[in-house]
Amino acid sequence: MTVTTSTINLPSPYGSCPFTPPPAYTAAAREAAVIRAVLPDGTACWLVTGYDEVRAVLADARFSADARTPGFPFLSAGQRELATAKPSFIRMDDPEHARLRRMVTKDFLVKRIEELRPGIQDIVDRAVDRMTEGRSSADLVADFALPIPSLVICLMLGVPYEDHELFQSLSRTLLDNRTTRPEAERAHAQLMGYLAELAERKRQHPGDDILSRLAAREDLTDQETASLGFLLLVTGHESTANMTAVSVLALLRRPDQAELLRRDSELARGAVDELLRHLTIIHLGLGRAATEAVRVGEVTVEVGEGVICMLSTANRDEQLFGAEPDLDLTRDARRHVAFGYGVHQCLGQTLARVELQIVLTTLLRRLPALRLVVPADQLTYNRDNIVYGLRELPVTW
Amino acid sequence: MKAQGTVTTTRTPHTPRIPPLPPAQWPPVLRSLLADSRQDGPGRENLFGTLAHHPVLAHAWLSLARVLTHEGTLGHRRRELIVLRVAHRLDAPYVHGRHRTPAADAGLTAMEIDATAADLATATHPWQPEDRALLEAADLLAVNSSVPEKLWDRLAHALTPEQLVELLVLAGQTATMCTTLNTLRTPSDSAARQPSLTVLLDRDRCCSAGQCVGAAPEVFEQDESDGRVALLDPHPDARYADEVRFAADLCPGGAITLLDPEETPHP
Repeated sequence: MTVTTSTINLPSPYGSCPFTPPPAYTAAAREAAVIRAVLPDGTACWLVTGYDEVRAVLADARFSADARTPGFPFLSAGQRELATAKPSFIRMDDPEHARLRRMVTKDFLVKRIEELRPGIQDIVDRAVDRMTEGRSSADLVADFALPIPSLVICLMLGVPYEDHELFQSLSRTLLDNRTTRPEAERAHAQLMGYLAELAERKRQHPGDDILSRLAAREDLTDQETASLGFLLLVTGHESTANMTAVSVLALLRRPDQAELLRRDSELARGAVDELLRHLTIIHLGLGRAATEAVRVGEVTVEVGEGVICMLSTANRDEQLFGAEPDLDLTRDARRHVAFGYGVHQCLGQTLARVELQIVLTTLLRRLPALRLVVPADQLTYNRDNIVYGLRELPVTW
Repeated sequence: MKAQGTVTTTRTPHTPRIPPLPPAQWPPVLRSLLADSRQDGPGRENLFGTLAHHPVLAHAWLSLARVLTHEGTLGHRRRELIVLRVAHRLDAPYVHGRHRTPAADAGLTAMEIDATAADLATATHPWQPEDRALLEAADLLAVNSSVPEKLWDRLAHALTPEQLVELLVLAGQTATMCTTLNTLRTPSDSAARQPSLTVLLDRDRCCSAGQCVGAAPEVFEQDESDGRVALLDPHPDARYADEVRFAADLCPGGAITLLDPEETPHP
């Protein structure tokens, strides 16, 4: 077996295709399942590109998800601030992670999310109405993709509608790699303050929502309640919104695939998994730090070394998903790791799937002539963010 | 598990008029009873799957069935005698076949069980007087005929008023079930089931991602009290084996272990 000696600088520039990860990552994946890399701050780490290796690291408790663990890899100052200042459970290890995650698991049970379908369909239908009423074009990101998951998660949490605008702008600030450290600190403090105050109101006047249930618990501090609410808000809307916009673009670029889904809405479940696999909106990540020396593939990751598990290259494993990389909505893509793997795997994945199924089938049904207003190569992407997406998607119908 | 031949199975198979629903679509109370129903014979998948079309009625039916089975005053042997005889009388192979093992567990011999399906007037089985009175009563109650005074006196001599009331309700409930399953042409469960692998859970490792429920809803569910994985069936039928293997592979927390005879262990 050959152990590669080459090193890749992170992040790497994108190539011509907006949906595929930077070519250097796919090239690295072809070279070796685990490869040396250098972070923007000059620190060395490991890039794990193979499907089996990615799953092995993410399922291994010797790799810490706690950003305060020595060696944890950061791509920006904003990311470091978000992950270390007042970490939510996605940046904790068990048993603390499990304790907090289990506070909200009941709200994300498959059965409960399935029961939300009619409510989500209603939100999506109204969003189509609002976007199309009295005009012939719109920005699908701002006018459609962003409001929908925000409305859904705010409904679940019990965040009043009039505050949605504030949340969207603050969480975008926090997730943007260009955000400076003071800006990130300010945005984080503002959101946490609001949530702690809302939790207090929920304690006085509880409703049928997650924040009310959390606020009523005596084993949670106000800080922990605010932190949980913060996590669900940020993860619940930015990722699904970005996934919505790039999925729509992917379907607009492949009318044959869009037509398949339009003709057969039964295909929606499998189609959404294939879109999740194909688009893997976390092109660079997830990060972990080794707390013991661990053998991963052909290399040994030493204590205090960071690893970045490349979901995007793992989801292009040719043995599992076939050699043909193009979008194929009939592919069995269910083994993808777009939601991660291990005990941190996305808690909201059922919700995300249901939202995407409803959003895409509804758009295709109600706006059969949906198309881009500008040439595809003039679109601008959020490539600096952890979650990759479109800045705007000007469409007409 | 005993696999004796059933008595009244000569009818030609029919397509069910209302196909039983798969376990994934049952109300939770029915699913929670499926594993229990396998303690003394094939799981009652088709009976439960039929009742699942009417969840409210399923609850009511189960309440009565629970009282008659676990809190009854007749005793297990008398109960099984009545059930077998009513099932024979109504030509209901589902119920008769399914009650052979419970009847044996209740103390009826194989000869007695066979004799419940023979004509009382001509058969030679030496029934005790009380058994004979119960069987004659079952014959009449199954078809809603009135019970003559002489037979009633024999029953009343052997049973308390409480047991007499229970006897009538038991016969009626059994007849209801036989008629329902016969009318719907609901097939027996016995032949279909082939346990393949055994599922073991480590609930402490469950992170409630829901992958298993998505992959194999017939076998896994999420416990609503704590959000963690629960098993509908620790010995799933062979037809679900591939789904279960897929669920175990997808489980991000490593909470599902399979004892899988078809898988060669890794070195």
